[in-house]
Amino acid sequence: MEYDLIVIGGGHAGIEAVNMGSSFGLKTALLTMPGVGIASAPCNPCVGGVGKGQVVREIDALGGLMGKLADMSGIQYRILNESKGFAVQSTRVQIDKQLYSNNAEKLVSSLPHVSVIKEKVNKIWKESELFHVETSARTYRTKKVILTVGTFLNGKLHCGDKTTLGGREGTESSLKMQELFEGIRVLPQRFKTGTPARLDRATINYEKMEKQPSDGRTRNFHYQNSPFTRHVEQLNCYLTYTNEQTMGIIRDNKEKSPMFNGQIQGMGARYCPSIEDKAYRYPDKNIHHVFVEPEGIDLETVYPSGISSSLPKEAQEEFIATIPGLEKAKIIQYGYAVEYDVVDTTQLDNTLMLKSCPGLYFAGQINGTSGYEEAGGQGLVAGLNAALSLSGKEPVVPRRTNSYIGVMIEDLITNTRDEPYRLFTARAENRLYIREDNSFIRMHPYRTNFGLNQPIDRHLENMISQFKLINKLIEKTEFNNYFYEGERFGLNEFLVSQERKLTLGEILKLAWLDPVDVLSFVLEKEKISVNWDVLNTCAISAKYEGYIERANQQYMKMAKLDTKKLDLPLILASDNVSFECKRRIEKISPETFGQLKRINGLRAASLAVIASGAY
Amino acid sequence: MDLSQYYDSSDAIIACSTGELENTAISVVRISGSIGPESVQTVLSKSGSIEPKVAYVVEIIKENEVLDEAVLTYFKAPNSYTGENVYEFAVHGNQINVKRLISHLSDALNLRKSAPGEFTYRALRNKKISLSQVEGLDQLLNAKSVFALDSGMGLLKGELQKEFLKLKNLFTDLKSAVELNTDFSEDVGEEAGKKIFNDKFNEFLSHITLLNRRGSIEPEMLLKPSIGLFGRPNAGKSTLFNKLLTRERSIVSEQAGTTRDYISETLMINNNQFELIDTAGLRSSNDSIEMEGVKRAEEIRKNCFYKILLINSEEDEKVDGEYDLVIYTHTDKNNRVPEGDGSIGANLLVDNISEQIMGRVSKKFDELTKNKPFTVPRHREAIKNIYEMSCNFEDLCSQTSDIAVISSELGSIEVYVNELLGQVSTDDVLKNIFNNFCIGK
Repeated sequence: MEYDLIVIGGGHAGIEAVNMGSSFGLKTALLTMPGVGIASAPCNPCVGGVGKGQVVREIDALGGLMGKLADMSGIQYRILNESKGFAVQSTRVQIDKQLYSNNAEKLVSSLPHVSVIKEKVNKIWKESELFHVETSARTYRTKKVILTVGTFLNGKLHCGDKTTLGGREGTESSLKMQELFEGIRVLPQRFKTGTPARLDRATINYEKMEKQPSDGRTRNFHYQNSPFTRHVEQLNCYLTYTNEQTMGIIRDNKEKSPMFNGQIQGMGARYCPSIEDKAYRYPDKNIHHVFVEPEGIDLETVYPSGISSSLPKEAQEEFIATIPGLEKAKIIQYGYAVEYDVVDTTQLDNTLMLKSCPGLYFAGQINGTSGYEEAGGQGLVAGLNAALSLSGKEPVVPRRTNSYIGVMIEDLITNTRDEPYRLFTARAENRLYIREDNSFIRMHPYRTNFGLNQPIDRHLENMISQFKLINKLIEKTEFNNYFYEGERFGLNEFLVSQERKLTLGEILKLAWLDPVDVLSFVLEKEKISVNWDVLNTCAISAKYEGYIERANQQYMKMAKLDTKKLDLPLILASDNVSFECKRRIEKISPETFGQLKRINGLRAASLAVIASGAY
Repeated sequence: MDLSQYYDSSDAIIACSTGELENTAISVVRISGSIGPESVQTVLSKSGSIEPKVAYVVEIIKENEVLDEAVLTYFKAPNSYTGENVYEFAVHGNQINVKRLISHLSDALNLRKSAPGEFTYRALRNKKISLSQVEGLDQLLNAKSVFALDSGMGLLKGELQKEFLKLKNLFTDLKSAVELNTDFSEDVGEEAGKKIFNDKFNEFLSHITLLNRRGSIEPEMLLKPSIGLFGRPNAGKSTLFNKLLTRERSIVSEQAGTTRDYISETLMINNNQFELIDTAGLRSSNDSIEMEGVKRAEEIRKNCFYKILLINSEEDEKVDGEYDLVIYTHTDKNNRVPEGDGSIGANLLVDNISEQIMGRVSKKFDELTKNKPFTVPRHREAIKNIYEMSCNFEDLCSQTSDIAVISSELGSIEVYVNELLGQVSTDDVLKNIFNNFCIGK
């Protein structure tokens, strides 16, 4: 059997890659392990979050699946950072994980030109420009391969002193990378991630916890969905806290913790600590948040977020019972940690293709990232570029100046990870501009470069032209001494006190006003009806205009330096750059100063020498 | 010879480090470069290897003739002042001898005579010292007062660098707190996050306020402090000038307006060198030379460390402008001694007038230097900018809760903090968050 594209691994990265292949009309196969659900959620049952919500919207505007799937199974919506300004606001949706996986499987199977094959891959090799993928059943040939095997690569599970081979609970692990494909470098340091115990929802006393209901004002992820119409029943999440007793039990069991007794060698993410981490690292802090999240409408399990643990079962039972509301909680599945191999992403180019092996791509957790959203973004970029390459087109890779996907891709390929990578807004230099609300504007030029004329393209075109129209209105409409009858912003008096006319744009910038409220009021008065996203973006863009411009000026100064091409041989021969720095630089081979700057562990002194060109 | 043409040079260089103007008992001739001890050995009578950090008595020879006997110390790269191989010869300090030795060593070992400051430049280039240490060294070598000496030494020892480093750390903490509130708000909780931010900002603000206070004094005023005598013609400025110097230097006459330009002399008070300036009398005049003198007196007054105004008590004159001290003179002819701020109300005949004045000058100097004011203009400028922006930042925070805007403003301050020190990268900030705060679900 011969394919254009084979994607190995049916997780969040894999399905986005398959979807791109299908969009471009490639004959595509998704090879996934038997018994593992498509796009399952083995950790937090939610999609989005600070920095991640932005990625989901970017994926959505590029024609990806994640936003659609999240909406179809979204059981609780929230806007994070709501009080902190528009730029850093992010959407997070709790999902019914069973529904999510079922919908994903249905959706992927229905994609044109796609076959879903449930077989375990044993070996991959390249022969006369074609890849051969050998599974337990047969051998497939393909022009392009994308590996999205998540934590399954040489995966090892830990629960107390019990270790088993596997990518997650109840599944087997894939082979080691070296066995799967010769000549690919994996990081010497294995990564580790963990997950908490799952509890029986009927045994929890919700009276003792703070209720967090679904927020009806949070916009759905998918652009073509009506903003606030939910697709399934909405549920509550709950918040409770650990206490001295909880943490005491965990501290007493330190020597039984695989993470601290040497059983686990892998490096976990500092931003996603297990409860053991918290207990030992912050010995004075006993109160930690525990978010109790339902895993689905029909599922009996809840996910207690914040207490991931690989302690022995008895210890898990003991400490969970000390948490208010969880005294009688029955554990359905115990928490565990998983260690896995990670590819050294500095071997990849910005389309996530292995430089030394054209046609072979890597995306998702195998690249050392964590999170479904990060995986999805990578899967999309890899799938898209595999397809573009097959049709002889130029690559399309979002840049870091206008997308979180771009930030992530560049971070990945210019740096060797020493812990799992997650997106933060802090990683973006341009976060006043890279917002959730304007994703369609930011992604539209990239989407246009796909060269596909699909319904989503027409939807985006329509939004862009509305955006331009409303912006003109904001620029041109002037108010002299009077705003509108019955306005509730105090603008009638304010305008009288002004010496000159103000444009609507200037009014939207006023610090004490919510620009979205004001603009929707004006449009209503003027009887102009406009797409909700367009209205939102126009108002917020007007508000930030000045700040973005100033940030851009600062950024341009930096960018000038950042885009400066480097004379690598000269740097590597320079006496003024330390040996250790040279070694790191040589390994990454950065082209610009900006890429060089992001290499971990470079000394400030060496950076200064290179920046000033004094090498 | 200009140092700038040698910025990229890696030649081995030589110079006499102890000055070439006077004969002294010992002079130090220093060599720096990649030149190895076995090469240096070729000009010595000594056999056996030269070990670093050991002092050897050696003979410097030229074609079997001994030029001088010297003590040689070798500092092996990178553990030397310049970071290169350094050889220090303590030789006999007759300047003819020193010149002959330098000429011989240059020829024999293929050395170049160093440009002024080149050793220190190489130390900077090889990251042995920081820029502010170079600034300190410059001050140390040219110090005119114990204060300047101390402050130069402080810079050299990196004390100021430590203060700046502390500022940078506090800034990184503040920046981390903003990121904590942005990316980890749910983990730390809204209120706790706000408190961390406020605490971090207050710590940063109080440190920068402290630093800014140290920068509020014009450093020139302290590095080359002057005492100015002002007053109308014939108020007795020159008399006081002479009295302070205890010798007749200024021309004293009974006719008003004798001192037309200013005259200055050096006055040592408590190991600090002051320039004592006798200015032309401040009065309007049609005489163009005198007018020029008056104009100059105004200028001197602006930069003067200690300003003394003399008023002839016979004339009805009011104190105009700020002075450290007002002295009423000619009280022997007039009993009217008005009380005024800072006035010692004395007549110049008072015996201990010099001691009184010197005591007051000394007191002011000690008070101002007690807080270790900044002596390098570059530091002052950067600190002032950071301080002013921090005050604006405080206003901004009271007006908006938009954290992306707040963070963008912080970015502007960062430019100046970086100017004082190295970079604050995202990784530094994130590292800081993970090390100091408990986050993560």
